[in-house]
Amino acid sequence: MNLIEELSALQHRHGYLRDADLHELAARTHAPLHAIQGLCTFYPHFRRQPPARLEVRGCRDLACHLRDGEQALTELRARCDADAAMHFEPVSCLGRCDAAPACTVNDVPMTAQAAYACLQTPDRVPSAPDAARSSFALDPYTTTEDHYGILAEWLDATPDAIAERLESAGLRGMGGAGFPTGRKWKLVAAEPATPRYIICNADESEPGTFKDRALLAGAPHLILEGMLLAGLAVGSHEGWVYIRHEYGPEREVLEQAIAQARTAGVLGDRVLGRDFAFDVRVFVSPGGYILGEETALLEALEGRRGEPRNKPPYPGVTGLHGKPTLINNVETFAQVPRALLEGTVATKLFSVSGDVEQPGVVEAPFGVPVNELIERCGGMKDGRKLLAFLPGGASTGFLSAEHEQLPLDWEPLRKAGSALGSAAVIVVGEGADLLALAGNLTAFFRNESCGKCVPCRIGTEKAVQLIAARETQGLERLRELHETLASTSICGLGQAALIPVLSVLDHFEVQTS
Amino acid sequence: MTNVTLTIDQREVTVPVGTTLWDAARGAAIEIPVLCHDPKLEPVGVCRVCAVEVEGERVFAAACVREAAEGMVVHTHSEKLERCRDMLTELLLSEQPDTSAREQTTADDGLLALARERRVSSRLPGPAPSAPAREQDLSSAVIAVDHQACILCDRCIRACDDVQHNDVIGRTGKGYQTRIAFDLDLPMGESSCVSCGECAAACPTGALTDKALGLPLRPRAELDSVDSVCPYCGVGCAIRYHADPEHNRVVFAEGRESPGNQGRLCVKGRYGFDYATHPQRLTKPLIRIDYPKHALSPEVASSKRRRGRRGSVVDYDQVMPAFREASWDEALDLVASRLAGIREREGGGALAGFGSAKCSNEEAYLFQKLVRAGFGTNNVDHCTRLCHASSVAALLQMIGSAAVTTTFGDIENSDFALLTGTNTTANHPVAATFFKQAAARGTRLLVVDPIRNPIADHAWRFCQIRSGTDVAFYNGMMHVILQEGLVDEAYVAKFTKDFDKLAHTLERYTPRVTASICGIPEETLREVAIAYGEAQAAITFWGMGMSQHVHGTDNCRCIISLCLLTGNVGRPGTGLHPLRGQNNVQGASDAGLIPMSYPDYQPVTSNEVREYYEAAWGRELDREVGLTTVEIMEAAHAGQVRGMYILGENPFLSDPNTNLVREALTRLEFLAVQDIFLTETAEFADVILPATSALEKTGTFTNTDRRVQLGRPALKPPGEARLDWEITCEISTRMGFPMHYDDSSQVFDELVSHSASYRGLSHDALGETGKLYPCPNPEESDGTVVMFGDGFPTEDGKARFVTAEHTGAAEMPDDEYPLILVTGRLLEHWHTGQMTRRSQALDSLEPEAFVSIHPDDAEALGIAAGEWVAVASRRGTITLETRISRDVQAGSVFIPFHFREAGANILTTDALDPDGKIPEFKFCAVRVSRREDDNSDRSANPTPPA
Repeated sequence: MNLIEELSALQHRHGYLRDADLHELAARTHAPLHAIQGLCTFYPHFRRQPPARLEVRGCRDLACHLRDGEQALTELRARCDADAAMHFEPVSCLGRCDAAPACTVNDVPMTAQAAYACLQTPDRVPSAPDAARSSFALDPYTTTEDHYGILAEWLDATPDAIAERLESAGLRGMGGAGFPTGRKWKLVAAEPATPRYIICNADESEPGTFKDRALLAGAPHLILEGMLLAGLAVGSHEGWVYIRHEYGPEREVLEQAIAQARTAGVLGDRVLGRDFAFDVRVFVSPGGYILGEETALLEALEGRRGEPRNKPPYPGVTGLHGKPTLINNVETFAQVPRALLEGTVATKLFSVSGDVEQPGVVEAPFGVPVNELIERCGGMKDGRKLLAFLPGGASTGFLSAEHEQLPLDWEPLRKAGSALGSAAVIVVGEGADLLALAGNLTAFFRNESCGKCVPCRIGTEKAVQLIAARETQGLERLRELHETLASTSICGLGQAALIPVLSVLDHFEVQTS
Repeated sequence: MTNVTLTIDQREVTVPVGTTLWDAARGAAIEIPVLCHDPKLEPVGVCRVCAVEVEGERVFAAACVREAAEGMVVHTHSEKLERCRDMLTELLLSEQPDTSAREQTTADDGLLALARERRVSSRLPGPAPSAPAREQDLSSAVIAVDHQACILCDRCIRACDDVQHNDVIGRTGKGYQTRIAFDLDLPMGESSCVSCGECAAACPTGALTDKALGLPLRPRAELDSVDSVCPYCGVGCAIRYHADPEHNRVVFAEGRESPGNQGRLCVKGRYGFDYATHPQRLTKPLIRIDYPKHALSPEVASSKRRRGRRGSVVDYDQVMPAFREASWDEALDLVASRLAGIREREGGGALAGFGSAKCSNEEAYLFQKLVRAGFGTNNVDHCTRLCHASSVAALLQMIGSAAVTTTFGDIENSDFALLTGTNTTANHPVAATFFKQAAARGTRLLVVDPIRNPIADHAWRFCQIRSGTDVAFYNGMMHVILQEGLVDEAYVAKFTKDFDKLAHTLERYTPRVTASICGIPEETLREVAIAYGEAQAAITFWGMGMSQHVHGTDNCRCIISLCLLTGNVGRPGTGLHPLRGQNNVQGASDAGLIPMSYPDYQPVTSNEVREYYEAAWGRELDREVGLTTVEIMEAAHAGQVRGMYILGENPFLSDPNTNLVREALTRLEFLAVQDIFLTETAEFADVILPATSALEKTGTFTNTDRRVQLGRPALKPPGEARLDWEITCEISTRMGFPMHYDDSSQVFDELVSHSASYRGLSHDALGETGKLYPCPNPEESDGTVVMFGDGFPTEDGKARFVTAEHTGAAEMPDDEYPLILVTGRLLEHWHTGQMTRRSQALDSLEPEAFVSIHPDDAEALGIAAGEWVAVASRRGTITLETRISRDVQAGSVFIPFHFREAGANILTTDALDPDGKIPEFKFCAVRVSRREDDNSDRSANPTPPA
């Protein structure tokens, strides 16, 4: 167990991390106390105080904010402040923007309304719900018996053939960067060092993004099959799923699927009876959006503070434990079987949230325009008109309603000065204060900055203050700040943090004070 | 490909693979600004000020971490880069407090300098009102923390964790609320910080700054900067003092780059300089008026202690009335005439001298010359007798040389290191940083010690053997090495003799027998022995845990045999290194300040050698080996030694069996003490001569590595205090053996003329960082790191195995005295505390005597932490505070010997090792009792010498 796993185990046992346990841990593992302190305070999951009987968390981020989240948080806080057995804490996006305003009570996910109801009957501690399962068109199988059929077909293929096929199918990373998947696999396969690792990045944490959650609950075997094919293609025998701790119900589904796959001989020393070993383990993230950044994720997997590394070297060359490591997003892995079967990537998942009637995950062809997505989500909330939307999550620029017909695909969005990103479409209806919304997003990045480098650590805080002040001169300063953050931050968080607010300043009218 | 060629600012640059852009640019004289980077530290690339543009890349790269690559095109300056650097500076400035503690002290705040240079001021909002305040933390005795001034450059973290390996500082919190934290976010002064100050030295802002120790800190340019050598332990760190000449005070000290310490210091070196200007410095010669002689202060008169009375340095009001001030002429004449009188009346053998390992080589040389030629006796010794005399005896006997065979820094070439009987982090703290660093890089440290010292935390294996079972342990290791066929037979055949005798002895030390003696599992013994035997390059360091036993020489013989058996001498990363205790204990011995040899270990018993020195010095010389330190005290007690000249030593506290020492000092007909303070020993003096501290003199000091370094004066001597070597010359001349030198370099030249090892050296040749002797060509070389690659300085060039049998200590625990007492030192103190207890910082960190006791023993005795207890041995009783610690074994207690209010040597035995004549400070039998339970007071009944 690394230090993070040790701390998770200690917290699981005692409810919180006690001084004496930490001293004992340091003595046993020869870890410096400061390293333990660093972990305890970096990861929001770790607590140094005993928990209240009811620990309530409420999301403060954009998708929930758009659905009266602030009001809900105020009410929950007031309720908890009045009762010593309850404790409320605002948190970053819980990945349940389809149930906004999203909350948890004792780690059980629920809407704010449900949470409030829960607090009215505090004697009944809620239990975890089952993960919502749905089916997807990207799943090429009709029955569960057919699972891993594509893997079986490709077991004898050359590793290169798998990557070739993915490349020609045009599969690109679905986590946001859109790097061609086949090319990435080839690069890792070409590295001489062993062992090599496969990591499934299931740390989806950006406001408005929850499609991976749906896949984890609905198509876990597809994800595992994608990882197995990756193992085959890059010559790896060890896979990890790095999953955020807030996805408890989904983790259970995934772990069941892993157990089933082991029993069925799909995972293990001889995959489907062949001379190929591959197994998958699950690592539960102790929290933080930054862990989705692949080198921060590696740091966490190695038991350290999740601070992104200076790159290069990239994980494909120097990844987990210094070895070549392939990291792909949940959806990317889930897309792999069909891409191999059909030679094309026809649909993808869009997380649609904000001012629509029924927020949720929509599977649609690449290039679907936002008005169609809105329609499939029951139209605009309360019949409001579309003001603007974020096409690809919190680190893309706002687009105005005139782009409602724009095909949501890599190239058209790039040309429009935005990006497909993680395909988290956050819809904003008329009447919203876009600068305030951009301020909310900036505060998210400020809250989730790891603090490693100067521009992001301090720059995001200054931006939050400048936006809140709404002074013309201060807002102009944001442009200078953005230049520095975008060019000198170590990772994508700082580089993209001011993109939304800049898009508002550039393309929308802003009321200054 | 070993080189890459890239273009930086239109210039083609070729650098080795792995070179960073920052280094590559620097090599081409292109300066890129930095804040977080320091070439001595692993780069982290967090401040981003060194951003550069790499063509074809979307974002800028941090030059300090980015490796140069073939064909890379780099621009270090552009309008956008400058805007970004300005903005980064502005971001940091906007968070700074109104005043910078660094700017107010040494005025070298790196951030403010950058801001001035770039003409940047902050137009941004200040610290977030919603975030918790970043407060000041003044809890450390030596370092002021201002969290608001911290720019999270991680320099302190790397200095603490990667350089000093103290592992105290890290980042806590996340994002904008990230701070540095000590341990589990304790105030610095309550954390495990050992106050080495490396963090404050590394900090570029006002976040971590040295506190003033006397005068307020000022910019270096306003002070006199003096490059010198640390006056404390044998590591001999190169140090720079910044002194205020007007007030004659050192204001602050810094580590200096040198092949030895590489700029590092410990708490004593960095913060322990103010002893030199303590108000208790002696400034005038003193002549005793209070006869008959007796102890003057209550702590020296008796070991009884009033409850609640805290320990401290001597109260001058209690001791000064026994003396009157005198002129130098009167005092020197008195010393010379009284010593000469004894010499004329009873012969030179009735005189003796203790020189000092704290003084320079020049002073050691002149002191022994005075005793040998002026007194007419070889009764001259110093504290080496109390630290490594047994190591020296074993080394001389077996390999023909008493100095280390390699440097402590050579551990970087070792894959295995044996550290035994050394509390390195306390006693050689800067050497310990290199050991810890090696461990972090993969060198396996085998730590063997009855006490779990902090270095054990860095060990691959820690063997907590029973006290006094070292011989058995190493014989057992060698038994396994023989059994496993891990002997380096070619080496043994070529470079050693008497292997058969060793093999014969080792037969009996089977793992089972050894394990039962040492209390170590058989498997562990086998594992460590095999690992040692299989090591490519094993190095051995030892300290007084090995040497201070009645079988100390045997202990050392065993580890020397272990090295020889496996061929672990004479190659990089291998060797024998007894870590020398005091700053100049190596040099003092080299200079002949020991009773058995002239300079460079030339035996006094050799007619040829004696005749050489008789010719050189123009006096007939003593043909017999002189008495050693403890023997001299016993002879004084027995009335055989009548007069003594003690320079810079304090045998009252440092020698074993204090009750006997007290009596011996009282019985001396005449005692002259030359020192910087009125020591416990000086309470028995007839004349006290005010001397100079290391900070006030020019002279050479030889460190544990054999590095001869020149110390330079940072201060003027106080009052009428005079240079030690001048005083020695005055006494000698007045005793009829004239000594005249223009300066200490002339003395050094004379020493060198008698010493083959020092050949080629002179004050001028030593340069800024000294030379490792032998160094015959100092103009071209730093000297010799690894010795004896091709045989040993013995008659036949071979080392000789000398066997040893496990015997046990002189005094074993019994029903009456059931516990084992181990004495030793603390990080913050040195020798008998004369200097360190007069240093404000060091004294405040460890102000008081204590005994460490295992929780099981404490519980059995009903003793609580902090409680005052009586510790009694057959020789006396002391009273002191209890600390409960698992670092000592059950059945053992540890007492540091620095503290006059509870002198550990009241308890120790004066039983001696037969070869090294070193006392057994590491083992005697004691009883611990709650204070009210113990009615015995044996302090008035010293045991007569055996």
